[in-house]
Amino acid sequence: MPTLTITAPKRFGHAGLLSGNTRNIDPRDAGFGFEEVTIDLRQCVAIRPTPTLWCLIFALQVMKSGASCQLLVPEEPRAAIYLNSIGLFRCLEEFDVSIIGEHLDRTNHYQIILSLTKFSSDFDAEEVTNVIYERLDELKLITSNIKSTITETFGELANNATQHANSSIAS
Amino acid sequence: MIHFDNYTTGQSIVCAVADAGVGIRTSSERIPEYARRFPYDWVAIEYATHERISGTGDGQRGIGSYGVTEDMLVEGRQLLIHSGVGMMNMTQNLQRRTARAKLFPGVLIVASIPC
Repeated sequence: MPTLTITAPKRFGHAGLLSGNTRNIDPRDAGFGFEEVTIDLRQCVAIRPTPTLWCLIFALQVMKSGASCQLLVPEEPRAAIYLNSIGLFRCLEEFDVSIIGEHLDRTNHYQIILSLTKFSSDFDAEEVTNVIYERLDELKLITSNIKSTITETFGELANNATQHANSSIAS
Repeated sequence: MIHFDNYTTGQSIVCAVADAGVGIRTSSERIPEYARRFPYDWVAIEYATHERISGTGDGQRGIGSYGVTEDMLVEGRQLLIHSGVGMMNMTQNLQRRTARAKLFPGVLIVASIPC
């Protein structure tokens, strides 16, 4: 059975840090050919938002291709807690990706305004944008100028995703 | 997702949206006017941020992505657009750079705003 293991580096700043030929394997290709895919984050001590979303979208594309996928959780507690708090494990489990590791019951939402949230229509996107507006409104230390920039930026990006992505998985 | 970030100097708010779709280049090339105009993903990404360029083909639209890009043209803000094997990065010194990148199977946009 063809299997693929993608091993993330210790400091996972972006997908370009993945080694070897695994960097440009595309689960959307008809010739993808793998039946089991493992994303191995065990050695990660730090992971940035960009590779967090890479892990999510790559795993969802793998599942869409018909293969199975599992994610091995970082052994470093802070990295695992960040990914759990941001909602990565919850999102992946919704699509039947197996999450294997420890620290899965620990979260820290201190710095999170909106965890990973699925939306698939303009209506969903508008609802999420309204939630962001309300949450930012509660933060007294941020100027109204910054709040409106963030809300407008997210709203526009979310609308673009729902209108142009043509994704059966959603955004 | 949106969260506070202390990774770089000072505190920022990071706003990230991703989709598992066809990508900016394929989406753009569905419009007859843009068909075969983009030889590479990074060319399509850069073009998509111009004023009045819309993936719907409607010349009255296309303000949004352009507006987001313009909003990021403030010192300290950063914008990353990654789609397919192309990326565009607008950095703190306001320079816009497009390049070949490792594959992102969809579209990822990350905006970072100091707060």
